[in-house]
Amino acid sequence: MMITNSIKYYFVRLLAFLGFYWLFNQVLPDSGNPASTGESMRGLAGFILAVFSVIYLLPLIESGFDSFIIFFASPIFKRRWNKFKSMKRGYYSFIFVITIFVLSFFSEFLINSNALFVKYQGKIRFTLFSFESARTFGMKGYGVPNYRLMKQVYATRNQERKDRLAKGNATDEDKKYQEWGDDWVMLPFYPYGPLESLLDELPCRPPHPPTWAEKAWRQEFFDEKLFEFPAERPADAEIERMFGPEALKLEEIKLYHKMALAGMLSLKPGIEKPAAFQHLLGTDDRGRDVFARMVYGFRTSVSFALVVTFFDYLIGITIGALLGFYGGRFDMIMQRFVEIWSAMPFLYTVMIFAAIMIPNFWMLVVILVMFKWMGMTYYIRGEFLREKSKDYVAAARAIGCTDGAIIFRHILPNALTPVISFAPFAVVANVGSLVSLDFLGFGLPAPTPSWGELLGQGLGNLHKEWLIMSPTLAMFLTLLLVSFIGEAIREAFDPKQYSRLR
Amino acid sequence: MLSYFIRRFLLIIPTFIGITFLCFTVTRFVPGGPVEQAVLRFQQAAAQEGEGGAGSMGSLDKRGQISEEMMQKLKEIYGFDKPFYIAYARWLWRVMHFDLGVSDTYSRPVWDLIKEKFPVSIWFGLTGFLLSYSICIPLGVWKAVKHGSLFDTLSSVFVFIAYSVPGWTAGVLLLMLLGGGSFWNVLPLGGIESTTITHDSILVGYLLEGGKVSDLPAEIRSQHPNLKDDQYINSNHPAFQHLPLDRRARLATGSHADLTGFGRFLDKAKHMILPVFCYVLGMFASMTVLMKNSLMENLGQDYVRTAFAKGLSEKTVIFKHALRNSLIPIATGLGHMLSLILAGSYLIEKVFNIKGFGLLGYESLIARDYPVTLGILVIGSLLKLFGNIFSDILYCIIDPRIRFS
Repeated sequence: MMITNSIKYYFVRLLAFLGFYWLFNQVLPDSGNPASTGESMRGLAGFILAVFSVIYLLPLIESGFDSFIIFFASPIFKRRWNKFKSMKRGYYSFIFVITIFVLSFFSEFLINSNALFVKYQGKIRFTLFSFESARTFGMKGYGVPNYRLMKQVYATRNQERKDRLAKGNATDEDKKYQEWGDDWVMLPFYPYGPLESLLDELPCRPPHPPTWAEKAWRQEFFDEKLFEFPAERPADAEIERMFGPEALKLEEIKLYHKMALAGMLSLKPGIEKPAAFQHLLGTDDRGRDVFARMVYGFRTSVSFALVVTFFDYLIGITIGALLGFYGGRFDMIMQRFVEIWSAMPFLYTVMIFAAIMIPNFWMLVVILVMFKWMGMTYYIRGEFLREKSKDYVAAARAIGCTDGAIIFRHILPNALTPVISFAPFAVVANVGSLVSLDFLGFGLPAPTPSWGELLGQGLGNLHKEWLIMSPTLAMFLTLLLVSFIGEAIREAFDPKQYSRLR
Repeated sequence: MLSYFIRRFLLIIPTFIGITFLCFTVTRFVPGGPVEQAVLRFQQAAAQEGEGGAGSMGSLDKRGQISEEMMQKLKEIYGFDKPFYIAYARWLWRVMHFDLGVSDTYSRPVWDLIKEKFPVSIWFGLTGFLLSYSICIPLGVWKAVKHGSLFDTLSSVFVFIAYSVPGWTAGVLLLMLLGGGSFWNVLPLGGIESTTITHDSILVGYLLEGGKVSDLPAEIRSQHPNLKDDQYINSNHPAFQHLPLDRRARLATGSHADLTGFGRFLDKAKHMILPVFCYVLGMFASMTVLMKNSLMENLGQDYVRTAFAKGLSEKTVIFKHALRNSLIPIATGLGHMLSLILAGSYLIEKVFNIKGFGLLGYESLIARDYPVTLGILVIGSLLKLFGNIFSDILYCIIDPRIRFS
């Protein structure tokens, strides 16, 4: 029993170490300057930091985790949770957002330019996460194959093979295929990725309108002179019948414009209009599918906000708890420090850091957490100041509990109400911060799908409504749902009873 | 009490040093700073000369590397020749003497640059701030009085919507709808005044009288050598009175300067509608809810019960007793607004291309113009620090129960 316990103990520590090591290597900048030739200190620094984290941080996280478990298991929590469930708007928003968020982690299976499976010469390969060369599948070139094109190519090849077999002039390979079966490509439901540029596949210049917007596409085709104009001006009677007598006075080009928008002209040979539901929200100014970018952007934004909120709270709760519990000089000095730290102009400081460092996802998390953890300390400190004078704390002390145990196992579970009730609003604020930073160009690095970057493109292309409408609506809906959740949680966990005489 | 505020003021010093030291250090240790950029410019210039077939520049060696002494000189120019703590101490010393340095991109004193941006930011910030207070306070009061009514529920919908759309995002959306995208073209795209007013503008009726420069008498014409012959002058120009009467006419096109007083007002107002709306939207939700909750809390207090028991009317109780107390949290917000009013909003100024304090900060960051960046940081953080103290002072003045110690 002892042995299995200690194995478990070390196993958890090893896992945590690997986790921290990975995390720190994500966060620490790769020596950055291409001019410097020195060894990167990343690995070593990451190793040292991870060791320290396992020794000092892990017990903290574990006991914090425990206190959440105690909090969630308490009958008070159950009662409040039932109250939350009874508030339909908040509860259903909660279910909906959680479902969508979990689903978004499987978006690679649904929305992606990579194929799920490819069967080539009798072998089935799972290609979703691998970067196969086009040659592997009997195509030309060295890069990743365009699976959509490949699907068409395979279809025609299969047909040709069948024809040859029917005629009797089959090659050896064809005969083998009788054994192998036909080649096929299984594409995801929406076969366009967030990063791939579709400039080669779509006519006209990006940004392309949504493919179901007939009129916008006709306008694009007209602007690019891709319509076949009639050899001569239609007869006046014809024009009058189509557009009324007003149109008779129009210049030829304006008349053709009218005809083009009405769908009376045909496109030049070789130009094809994309299918109606090919690109639901059009493409952005580099020809990337907006719908795919929105979905992946949702995942990035919400994950980012959750991660930042988590670390904010981790630091804020710990420091607030220590301040409230120990009080005295330590409290006073640290309070001053927190005050100093909160006096930073938040957005501008973050902008300076992000502009200069050009951060990745984790680095940006660190920058935001660095300037945002202070908010929670005030609440937790207050809760601790109130709680620590209660009888149960004295009882815990009397039976010989250590300070750590008192803080995390006894007081913290009773002080978590503000944490729970502020969390959704913190998520809203963090999504807002990320979108703002991305919009300004100081957010996540370039090809990362993001709503803010799309809005920035929209500001430069005010005629392209879909570039503005999609991120605005997506953000609006997400934040609205999350704030519904927040409202319901606050109502359930931190109810303010207003007594009124009249 | 006094000692508390003295301590608060003293605390500004370490705070200020902390903030600026942190940001100063970051600007020092990250590649892509002004020295590297200057080196790059040199190398590009050298490469172009090399293509042109001319000899190499004296400061570069054969491989296009910059020479040691040149590098030294560059570092000296940008103040990178000293270790960062000495450089910081020097910078701080200069800042203490109100010298923020000279901008790398504009080659002008940073303080001058910042100073001329203030009026614009204050103008927008103050209008937005006053408007949002005058909307949110009555609305919050009304919502509290009518708590639970249909009006309360309906206005809560608006509050939720406003909370879920950051002000600047709504700005982009409104620009698309009203600023001449594919929908209506009724409001300007940005800026603070029109540069051109043509016949399709509604302001064309407010243009001043004016005349062509070539119609001026010769002796007057020679007094104004800067004018071009095909240019028009308006009636504000000193030379206008010398124009022959039959040559004067209402201008057909012009700019902001050619408008009458009322026309200018209209023009400014037209440019302010959207940005100010965004400012208001940004504060709307939190302010309204704060006002409502604060009044609700007060209405449940014993003194309100007493007031009702005395037989006072509901109106008197709410507006004379409860409202005054519930304005306390709103009024103390004034101090925090100080930095918002003066420093404007980076995002809104960027969206509407308002050349104010925030946009200057943003552009200096893009251009890696560190003196301006740090200058903006200095002003911004000082505003915030003083704003916080101002807030506390207000708190004490409004609510005599509060005692800081």
